[in-house]
Amino acid sequence: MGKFLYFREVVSALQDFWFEKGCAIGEPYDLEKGAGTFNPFTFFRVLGPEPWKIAYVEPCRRPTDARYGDNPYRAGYYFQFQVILKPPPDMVVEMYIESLERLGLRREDHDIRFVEDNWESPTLGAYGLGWEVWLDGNEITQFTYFQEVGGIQVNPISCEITYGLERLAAYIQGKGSMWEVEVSPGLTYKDVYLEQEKQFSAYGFLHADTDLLRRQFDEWEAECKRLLKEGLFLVAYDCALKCSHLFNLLDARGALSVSERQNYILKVRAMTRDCARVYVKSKEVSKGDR
Amino acid sequence: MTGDYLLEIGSDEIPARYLPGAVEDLKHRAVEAFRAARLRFEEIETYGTPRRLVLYVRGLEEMSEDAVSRVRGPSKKAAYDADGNPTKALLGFCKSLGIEPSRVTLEGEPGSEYVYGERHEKGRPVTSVLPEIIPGVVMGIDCPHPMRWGEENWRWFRPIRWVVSLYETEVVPLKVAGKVAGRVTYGHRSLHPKEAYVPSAGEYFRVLSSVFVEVDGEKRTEKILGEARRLAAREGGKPVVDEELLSEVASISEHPSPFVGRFDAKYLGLPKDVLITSMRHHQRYFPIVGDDGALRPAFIGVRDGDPENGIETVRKGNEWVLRARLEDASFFFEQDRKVSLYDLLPQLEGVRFIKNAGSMKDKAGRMEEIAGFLAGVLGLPEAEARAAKEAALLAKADLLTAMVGEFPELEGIMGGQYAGMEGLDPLVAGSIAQHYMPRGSKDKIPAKGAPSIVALSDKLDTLAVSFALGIEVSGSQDPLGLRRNALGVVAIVTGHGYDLTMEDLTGLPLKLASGVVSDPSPEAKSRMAAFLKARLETVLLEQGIPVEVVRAVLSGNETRLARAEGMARALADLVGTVELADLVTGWRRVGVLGKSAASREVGEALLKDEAEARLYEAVKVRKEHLEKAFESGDYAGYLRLLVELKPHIDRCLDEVLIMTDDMPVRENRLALLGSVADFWIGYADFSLLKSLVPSG
Repeated sequence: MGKFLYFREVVSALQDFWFEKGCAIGEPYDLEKGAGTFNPFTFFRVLGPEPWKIAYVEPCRRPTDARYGDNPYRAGYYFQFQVILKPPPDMVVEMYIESLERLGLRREDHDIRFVEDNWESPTLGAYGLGWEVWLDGNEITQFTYFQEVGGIQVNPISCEITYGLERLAAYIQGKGSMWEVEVSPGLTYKDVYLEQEKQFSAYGFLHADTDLLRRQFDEWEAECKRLLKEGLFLVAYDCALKCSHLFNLLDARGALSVSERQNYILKVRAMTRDCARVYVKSKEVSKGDR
Repeated sequence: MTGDYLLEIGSDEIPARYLPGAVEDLKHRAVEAFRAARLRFEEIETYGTPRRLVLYVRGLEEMSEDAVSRVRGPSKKAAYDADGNPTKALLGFCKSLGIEPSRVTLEGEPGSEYVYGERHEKGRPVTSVLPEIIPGVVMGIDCPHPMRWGEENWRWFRPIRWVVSLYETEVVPLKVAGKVAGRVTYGHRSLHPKEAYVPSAGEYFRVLSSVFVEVDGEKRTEKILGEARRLAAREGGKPVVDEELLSEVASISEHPSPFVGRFDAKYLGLPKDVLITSMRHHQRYFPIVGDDGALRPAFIGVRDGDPENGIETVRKGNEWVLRARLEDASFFFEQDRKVSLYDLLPQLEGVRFIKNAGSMKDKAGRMEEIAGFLAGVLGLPEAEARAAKEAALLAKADLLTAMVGEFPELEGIMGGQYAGMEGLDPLVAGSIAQHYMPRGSKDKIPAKGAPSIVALSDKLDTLAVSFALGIEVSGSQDPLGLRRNALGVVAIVTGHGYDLTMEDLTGLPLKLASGVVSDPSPEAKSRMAAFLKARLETVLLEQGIPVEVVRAVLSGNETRLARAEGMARALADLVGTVELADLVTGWRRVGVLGKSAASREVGEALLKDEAEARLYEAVKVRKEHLEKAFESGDYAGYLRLLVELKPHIDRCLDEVLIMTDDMPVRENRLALLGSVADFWIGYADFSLLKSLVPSG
């Protein structure tokens, strides 16, 4: 094993590395979301021709993955470290391996594999091709070349590198569970997040008021449509994000039939697609003004 | 002069499942392109690793071959004026070919002759031909799931990063996906993560091996297999090797180094399938099995890197992941063992089957009933029929187990496992374990008897309920996997030769489905039958039986699916023979009039003419043979008997006026033709075979 790094140090090492590679360092977006891809830093900025390089930590909420803190690797709330490179440099894979070395994971001491894994987000109308990256058999990163986002073919393509911070830290620290990860001296991940995980597991699986969730979904969906007519795509996208999370909660609660589930996915997809369209159109208009 | 040519396309990691195909396709396309460009060579070899595709051409001639082609020019009228002198048109034509007007020839029918000339093409240096063909060969490789990247939206498996192109020592300048070819390659990602120079084509393999890359996939496979066996022997066993996994592991490494990892023997208490799934499917490890057939507490992993340096870290890392997986599995297993399948049964009430079609509990009840019915039709012994019903009832209970929640691919298998541990009849356990089979078109079908009956009951119920709900399957829209279910039904029924009719397969399942679906679709039955037939059609076509024959047989009156293959094969064997022509003509002659027959009752006393009496006689003596041949599956014999009827049919229709004014006689004659036609219609719709018969 390499050097011991606290969770905090894993994050800062990655931030430093990608900052040195020319990335802006972003902060998390303050709404519930299932993945770093939902942050507007990714969703909107990968559309259109302008170059864009950013790295940021993103807290993610996936109510269906919640396990009351019982599962060593799975939780309903966790952190991703997300890097977007648009367009990706030629040796981007090599660059990624260097980022692992910055964490003390020297390539000659380990086994790094790129195993085909094609990523898709139905609610974002997005898909890409890439790999999951294995470090000595542990899946630590999702590496994706975007092909389509918001139902729009992206050009140029962007590269999205998503590190699973808990897994990575657990492996670096030699812990058998993400809950044992040391956040800072004397403080474990469990101390910080376990109670939250338990309460939100109970909420998502047992106590969420499905009537309320459905009602809110409909209201935010209507709001999204209304705001899009005003051209306020960023605000409308917030509504779409809320809907996406409401759908995730309904899904975790087991409240949706197969076809209902599909319907909700299509609704969110339509919202994000329309946001993307209005965004692209507004860029074209502003370019025309110049 | 000849020399060797090397092309290396460097890229980001190509998905393992496409690599072997890409290596093949590169060879195939290169051979074609080289031939078309008149490049002569001794041999073309191709290789691949996750990061490179390699084309190596031995004994490539320095120049492409000269070629002479004949080119048609203007017509004689346009080529010469009234005095026979060359016109501008002819002079232009000759100039384009670089020949004198005196060298052309005239060919064609008098009055419509044309001028012909020869075009001589000189061979060109291989270094200028290759840049024209190589980009097309590389970018033309069949990519089942390409990605798009770069300024020009190139499409390939993954982005192309570098190109090496050398004829002997010389760089053949070309560009592939925007990359300019040179002599710089890159070594192994972790053992030599930098550039390497290739002085000449011939030294390529030596250079690559010096930077820790084994380009030959077969050699990588051999190495993995040999090492895996050696290492496993030290653990007192053999690696459990399946071809798919071996190919994947060999395609995912450039410098494979197998190593042994171990796990705590306490996990051996887990079912073998659980252990194997945890190791093989999730981690790409080869499990190790002892001579006694039991798993050893160890596995073979394959590192892409050095066999020694850092191997302890790699081993520990892999053991650590596996331990976490097995720890999970043990937890699930213990949870599950606390309840029996019968305990879980009532809870199936809370698991939805398909929207608006009740719960899994309802489904289990229907499956039990269908299994009982099918066991009866097929005459299963009492005990086996009972086992089939019990297994059908319990088959879905494992959906509520924690293990299946975690490893969905173990559904059914876990149920069988738990049933066995609970002490249920081994036949019940086996039937539960196999009820999802076949899981794909290449999977085995369940064993004959109870296991197959249970599998059928599951699939038929899913189909019946879906069609009762009016669910449509189209293109990629098949969320409930109806195609897979129907293919499973076809595979089981035909594979075991079950003489089940379409009514057996659809009748009861649809009747039961209509109890749970409100307002069932009135077309459910015809659509379900058509859907099953369509799957059967696919299967038969894949076996190479002509489409006309398949459609004809499936459009006949026979509804026992298991019979179609034999019937179609017998017919297909006759394609191109006079017998098939006789059969088609015979059908046409009796079929057209026979169709209007009101009955099949032929009164012997009414057979006035000799020809019709002969036909009647000919059918009568063959009737029993025909039926016996058909039932016993001797379809060639059946068709032979039909062919024998042909002369009698011909004579009857040539000599006898069927549509006579004497109504009773007419009715009798039509009935005779109708009864003859039935032998054809019962077999196939022969009208669909007309195109196979010359001048039909």
